[in-house]
Amino acid sequence: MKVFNEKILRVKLKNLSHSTEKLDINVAKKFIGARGLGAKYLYDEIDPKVDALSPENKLIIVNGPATGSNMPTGGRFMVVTKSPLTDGIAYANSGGYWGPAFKGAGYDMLILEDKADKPVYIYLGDNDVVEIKDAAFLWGKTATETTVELQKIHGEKAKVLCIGPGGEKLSRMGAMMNDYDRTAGRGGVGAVMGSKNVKAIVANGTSAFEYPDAEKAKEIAKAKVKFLREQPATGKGLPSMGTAMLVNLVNNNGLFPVRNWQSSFYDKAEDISGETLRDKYLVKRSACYRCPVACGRVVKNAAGENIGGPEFETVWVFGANMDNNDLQVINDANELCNEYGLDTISTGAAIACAMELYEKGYIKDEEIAADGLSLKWGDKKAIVEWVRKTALREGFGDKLAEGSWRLANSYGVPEYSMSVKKQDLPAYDARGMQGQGLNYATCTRGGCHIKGNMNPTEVLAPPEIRLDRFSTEGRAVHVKNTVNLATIVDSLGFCIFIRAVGIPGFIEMTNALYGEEVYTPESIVEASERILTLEKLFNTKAGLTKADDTLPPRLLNEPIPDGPSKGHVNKLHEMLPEYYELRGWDAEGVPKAETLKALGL
Amino acid sequence: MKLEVRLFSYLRDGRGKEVYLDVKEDAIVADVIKMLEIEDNEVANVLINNFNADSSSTLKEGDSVSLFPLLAGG
Ligand code: SF4
Repeated sequence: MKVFNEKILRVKLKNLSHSTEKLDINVAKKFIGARGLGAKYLYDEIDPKVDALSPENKLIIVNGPATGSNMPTGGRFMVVTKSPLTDGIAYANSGGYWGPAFKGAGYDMLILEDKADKPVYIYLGDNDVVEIKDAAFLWGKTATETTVELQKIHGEKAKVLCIGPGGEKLSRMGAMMNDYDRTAGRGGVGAVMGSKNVKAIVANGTSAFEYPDAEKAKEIAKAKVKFLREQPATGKGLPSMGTAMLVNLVNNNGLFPVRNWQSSFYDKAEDISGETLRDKYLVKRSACYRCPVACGRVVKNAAGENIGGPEFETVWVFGANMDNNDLQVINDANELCNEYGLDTISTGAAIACAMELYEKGYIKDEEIAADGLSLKWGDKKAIVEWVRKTALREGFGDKLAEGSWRLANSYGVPEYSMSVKKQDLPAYDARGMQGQGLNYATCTRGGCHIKGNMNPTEVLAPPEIRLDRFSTEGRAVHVKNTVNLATIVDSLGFCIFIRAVGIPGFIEMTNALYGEEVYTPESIVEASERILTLEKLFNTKAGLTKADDTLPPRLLNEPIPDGPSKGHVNKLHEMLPEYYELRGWDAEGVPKAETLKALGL
Repeated sequence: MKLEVRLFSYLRDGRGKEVYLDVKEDAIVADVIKMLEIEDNEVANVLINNFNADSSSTLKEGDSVSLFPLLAGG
């Protein structure tokens, strides 16, 4: 394998056939890879208006040039499809070890088309082995059960990407799980896989990465690892506390939403902090492929078995957002989401939304009586049980499985869903972080922080370089640059947590893998703008409009009632027109003809 | 004057979660950082009574100072 194998595998599930075709390397370079390349193929191959859960949708799994290389965190793959949650484009990436094993089998991209008549799994081995096999014996099984079963058949070195019951039952929050507990989580990508009757994809390729100049690649990789080890965040903070180290800082800035965003300072945050997670629950750390950071946590479940631990957003959504200060409950809810294959953010947000709908009297006791569970804030037993019922669509869980927006909308009050484009927001209250609000509102995959996270510049940075988080002035430029960086990292196949290497660092690594100067800072930024604009175009053709580039009314109209960010709302209207203009989109957020031309679209 | 200092992330290692200090009048946050033997560049975020501050901020009796290293992730 190398940057690109220049080979695409296409599986037609209806007749269980497969074929390969050549990937044009110039197209790959133009769209960088992974997220960008996936967007290009999705845009070209499906009508953006198709029902996301119909056979007409396609599921694209695609690597970047760095995937499988020796560069730090170069192991990520991307899933691109039409989202059943947002009805726009979905792209969700994951680490672990699956991506390199997929590239090692000789492909860059897998395109799944149509729908199999009955459950199947796909096996990809060395020497062009592609097998589409019966998966009836796996249907209904959890991520761990599926992985164990498939490794019994294909050997322990085989890497398994699968769905759990969440995806099988078409929960719009269904995730894809790989290497037991790594997740391509957002946008309901697992439901699309379930809708195609594909339970798992086993990758077992072992070919080694061919470097044009192995010595040089090694030297650059070593220098970058050293750099990351020397940075306080990637060398000390993330390894020691995991991402949950953010709990106390975000909370102490009054940005940590409580009870479905009714306030934003949690007086029990210390109980669920990264510090407490480390001191009371951490068994050991875990890392994805070639990652010197190892932000992953291993903790114990209630039965005392080792399980993957929660990250920051999960801690928040099953913690403060439902007024639960018991980390064991969060660990258990996280485990169930992983095993059943559900996105933790959206699943937790749907339960929190239901708790508020219950508090406000929209959901009545009679409706949940048969479930035998309460929807009271912080009910520890109920929280974990609701996750299970959501995954299995049991009782009221059937409504939760549709996600918070469709749940709240069924009572005529969609405003209680704290989502953008029907996808739930993560753990930062954008009323006290103006740029984060613009990022949330405009993210092409719906409510999300990570694809343009303003937390590093609006909150985490030292005071001398930190942006005033309450100000909107010039914020659109910062958001644009941050979004561009995330688009580049996503498309190359790296992890966003090493963003500190900066665009020059990412280019240095990538060019070394190509063995030529494929990218300059200007050309890679232009490629990121091309990708973003193409995603926006997909959404526009899917029927999303400017009215979807907004925030929940609570963030625009209800000031934060207490805490250090008290009194603030998000002033999106002061930033959005400038953002559109900077991107070359018109006042309605539609890419202008001249922009498309300039970007070669 | 008396102060409470709350330490976060790895700044707790070897120092504990909360430290109570008696400092001179007009002390600034940098004095507190020095007293706790924390390297200057190790502190990225300072909050006084949960409001954003920096190492040059002046302290007053009874203040609660929170010190964070440079964090990332999420
Ligand atoms: S920083 Fe964390 S999520 Fe990123 S590659 Fe490393 S272990 Fe995986």
